[in-house]
Amino acid sequence: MTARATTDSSTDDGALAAAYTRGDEQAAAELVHRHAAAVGRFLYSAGADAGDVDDLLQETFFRAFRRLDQWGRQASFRSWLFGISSNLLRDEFRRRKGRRMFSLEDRDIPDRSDPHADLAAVETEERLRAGLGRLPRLQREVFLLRVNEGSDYGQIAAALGTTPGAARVHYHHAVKKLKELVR
Amino acid sequence: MSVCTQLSDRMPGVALGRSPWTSEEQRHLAACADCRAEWALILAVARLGAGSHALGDPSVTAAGVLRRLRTEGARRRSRRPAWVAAGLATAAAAVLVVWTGHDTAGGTHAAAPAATRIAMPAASSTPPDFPLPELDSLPADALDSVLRVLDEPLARAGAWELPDLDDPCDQVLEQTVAHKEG
Ligand SMILES: [Zn+2]
Repeated sequence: MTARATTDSSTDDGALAAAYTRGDEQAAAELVHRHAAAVGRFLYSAGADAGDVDDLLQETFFRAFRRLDQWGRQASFRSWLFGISSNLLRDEFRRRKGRRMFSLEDRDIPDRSDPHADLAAVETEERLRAGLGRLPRLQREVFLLRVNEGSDYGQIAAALGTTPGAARVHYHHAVKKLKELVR
Repeated sequence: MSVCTQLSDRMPGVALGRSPWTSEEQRHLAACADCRAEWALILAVARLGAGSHALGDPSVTAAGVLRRLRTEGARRRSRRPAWVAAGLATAAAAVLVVWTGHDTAGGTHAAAPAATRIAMPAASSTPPDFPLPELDSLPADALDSVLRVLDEPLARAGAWELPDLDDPCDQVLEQTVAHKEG
């Protein structure tokens, strides 16, 4: 009944999205495989509890596929997913009535295989997590999309519903605040 | 644009391994304490991002998403006949009224047949629950497309929201930047 998409890495996201709207579930699965790691990393870095990341990730993709017609293609599919994730995080924060939904300060430092791991590096990580947790939400998300994903300001603006100029200002504010923590 | 700003713009890409520093940029880094501090920050955050969280298997995520989408699709289809029929009946009644108005132009509009005047409120307030075999015979994906189009105004709400309301400083900032950018 439906044509199956060619789901190798050369098929672009738009073609996969179109294939899914024609009923090809394999195309949707391919989109999840392509973008889950980046979106999960964003959710976690932006403050979602580790135990909530997988649920939030699933919710992000669920909302995306339900509203595929709203992906205007001005932004990349991944940027659009970041925008949905960002809205989810904000909704979660509001649902908890302003109580901070996450505590970057309280997170465990990941296990290190090297028992002689540099203590200074661990302390820097702790300070950084604390610093990220204290940034305003938009500053934090702009900063993380730029540093972890290498997104440009246009992509960030499209994802987070701001302007490229404002994104640049947010980024530089975040850098200024965090730079002192790693000196 | 100052050299420091140029380097700042390049840092995320270099940290992600997309392109190396040029020798000129390396010389600047060696000489500029401010850029070195920023570079140390970017490297530290990139390390945090790279090793931070072991995600679940994306196949499991995909399977969960597709299961939810199928469930929702089935739920929509199961409730389709009643409200699609209601919509069509309302549209038909509206067409009938327009047609009747056209036909009776010249002062007799108010005297439209009683059946017409009764039919409209009846159609819109109590949707008839009759099957629509034409729609039922459509393939599932075609039906979903129809339903998606009909759903559009509702689904659109809240998809792309305005900038953060819980961060008034950001709002002011964005307005200022927007103003500057014209
Ligand atoms: Zn410099």
